[in-house]
Amino acid sequence: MNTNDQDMRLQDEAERAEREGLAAGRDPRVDRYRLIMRALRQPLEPRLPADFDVHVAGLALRRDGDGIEDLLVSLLLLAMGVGALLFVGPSLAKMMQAMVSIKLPALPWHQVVMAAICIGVVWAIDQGWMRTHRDSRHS
Amino acid sequence: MSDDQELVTEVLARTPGAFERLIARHKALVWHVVYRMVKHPEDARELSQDVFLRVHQRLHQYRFESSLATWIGRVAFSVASRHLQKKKLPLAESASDEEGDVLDDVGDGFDLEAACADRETVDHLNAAIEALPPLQRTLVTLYHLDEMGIAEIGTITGLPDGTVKNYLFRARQRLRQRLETRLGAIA
Repeated sequence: MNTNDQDMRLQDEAERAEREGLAAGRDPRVDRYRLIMRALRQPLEPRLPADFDVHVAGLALRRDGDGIEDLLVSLLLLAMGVGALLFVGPSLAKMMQAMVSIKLPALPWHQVVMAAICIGVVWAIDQGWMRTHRDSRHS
Repeated sequence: MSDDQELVTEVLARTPGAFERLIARHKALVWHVVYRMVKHPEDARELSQDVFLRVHQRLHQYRFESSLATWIGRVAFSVASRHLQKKKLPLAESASDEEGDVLDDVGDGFDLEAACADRETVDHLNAAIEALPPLQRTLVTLYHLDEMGIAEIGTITGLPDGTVKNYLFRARQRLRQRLETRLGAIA
């Protein structure tokens, strides 16, 4: 029997002896494992604060409240948007017609589009970097 | 209706005090998983809070396929693992890092009850438990302190049963080695 098989048997015996509350002193190697198992059953120190349940349950409820608040704010903004569109709609249509009639200058449009894409990509990378940086600071 | 189902239904119905009861019932398990994984008390407290906020947010996804404790334990393990990954800390060690065979003979004189009462031996063992890699620390705690079965631990950690058993065996073997080093030193 190799060392691992022997150890496996000793651990099984120690576990059984602990479960059945058998007397110690028959095999010191089993007793050493019993001591280890007793140490592993000890409650952990430190512990969570006594008010942990109340505190976290309160936080979760507040988050629920925030969710409803966010929804109401979104609905309000949507209503305001629709209202504004109805109010300025006719004049906006006139303005659009006027803009269409204006002749655009002969710009190198493909370069303008490329420049806009580049700015967009740089902005996105910057945002991603800021988020990663912020997460690593919080973690 | 089982206890778990009743409690989950109450939490989802926003019954006052229900979520607080859920936390009270499962906070020990969450603390054991998170604290054993990250070891740092303040980080562990914050992460335990995150675990319960996540549980609250995702409870509607719980399908009663495992016990609520196992499901919550899984959330805790995933939050703690992600924290270790972010900090680039290893979860377990490679097999080559494990120590060799233990001292086989430290003498036959070993009094279990006297050793249990010996503060220094107990402190030495606690330090040895703390020194185990995070995954092994967590597994031995779930098995011995929370009295979870191998299959439940496997569900929480996502490890096959055989791997859980092997980690448990190696962890206890290493603790015996540490204990015997101490016993050898004081003999």
